[in-house]
Amino acid sequence: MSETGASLRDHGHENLESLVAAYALDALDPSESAEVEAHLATCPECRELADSLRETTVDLSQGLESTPPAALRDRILEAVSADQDAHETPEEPRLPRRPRRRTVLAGGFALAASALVATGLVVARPWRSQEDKDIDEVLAADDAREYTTTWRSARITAVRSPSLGSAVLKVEDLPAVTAGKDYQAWSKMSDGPVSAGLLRPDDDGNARTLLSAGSAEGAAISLEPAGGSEQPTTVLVALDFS
Amino acid sequence: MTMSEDEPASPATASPDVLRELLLAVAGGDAEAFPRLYDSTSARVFGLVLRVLRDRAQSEEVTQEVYLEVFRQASGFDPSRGSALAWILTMAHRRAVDRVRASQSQSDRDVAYESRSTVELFDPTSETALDGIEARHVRGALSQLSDRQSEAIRLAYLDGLTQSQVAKHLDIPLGTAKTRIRDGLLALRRIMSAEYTRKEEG
Ligand SMILES: [Zn+2]
Repeated sequence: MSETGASLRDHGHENLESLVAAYALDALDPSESAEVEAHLATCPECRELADSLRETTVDLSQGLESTPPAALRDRILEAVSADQDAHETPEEPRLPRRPRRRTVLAGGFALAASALVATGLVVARPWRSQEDKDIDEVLAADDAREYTTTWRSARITAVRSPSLGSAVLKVEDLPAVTAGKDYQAWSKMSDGPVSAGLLRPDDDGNARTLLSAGSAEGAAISLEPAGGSEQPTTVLVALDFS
Repeated sequence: MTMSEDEPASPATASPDVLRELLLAVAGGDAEAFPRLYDSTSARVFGLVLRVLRDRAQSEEVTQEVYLEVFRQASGFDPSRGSALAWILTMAHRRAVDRVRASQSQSDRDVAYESRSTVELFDPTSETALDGIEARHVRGALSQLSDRQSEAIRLAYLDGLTQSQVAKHLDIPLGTAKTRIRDGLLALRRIMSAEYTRKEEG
């Protein structure tokens, strides 16, 4: 059992209930929240408690209904259908999102001010299976080459396939990010960094993302305000493909 | 079709079963399902986010983020663990709270609380002016708890405070805040499940 599990056990059942209750209300600090999530991953009993308390929170916002503007509905449906098209058109060139994202970023602030960028959606990680497939393909490529480094507890690996013209950034055991911050991945291009999206590690601190095409000279991870930035502000770790 | 922003809510109050099927259909790639899911849940999502953030522009941004996440993560919804609405509102609440905590440092927030008069923060001419909403809401779930419990839960869930911030705000020991939050939420669960059982039987 992990240290986390042990320390939670030491709290005793009553304390655990308080932690899970506060967790269900999103009233924990990030570190406490990560501790609870680690415990929930291994304890069906507490997971059931958390699920049932989450269900209870639904009642807390009953009566607060407010219809959002119709324009927002249009924006959302449009964004969703663009998202759907992006990974449902088989004829589309490999890794369609990266070039598109690049265009947006290079296009300057006029485009950046559009709703999508303003809400951080452009950089948000899509959890889509096509991307997973693309990632697996890079990892399995014959000419794949690995570059590895570490940052704090995390192991960071970039895998690059010149023949596929793309690369994958993998992190393991990345520390949970503090509230209001996000990790963001970057491709280092000759003319500057290009966002490869937010890195949202799972409970074990693992995440992976596709990097920009073959001309990338390296990769980096930065710490950004929630939702990500147009340009990296605090670079935590960088890797060179050389 | 013209639809003004001021048009009253059309709370298509879909049953939990309908919402579950819609969310599963979204996960299955059914293009028709998403707009229906949105129409059936967006007033809940937007209302909650607006209550936490108290800012329309930011609430619209967060609502958009939430629905993109709903769309992308729909396959992660496990109906055996809870309702579709709970799944969606959990995402909405997390994002709203993240935004609150990101946009204001702890001390800013404390200052804001000192000077906060709930209604002042809102445009009184807006259809979301708090008076009506809070009045309606107070008659709801929270009204069934003790004042102290409901206050602690309200600060945590609706104002987006951590339990430490709740303690600080109420000037009570952290342990007391934790107990109020826990007991309040457990009591609420009891009350709501009793109500549910009564409805089922009646
Ligand atoms: Zn447990």
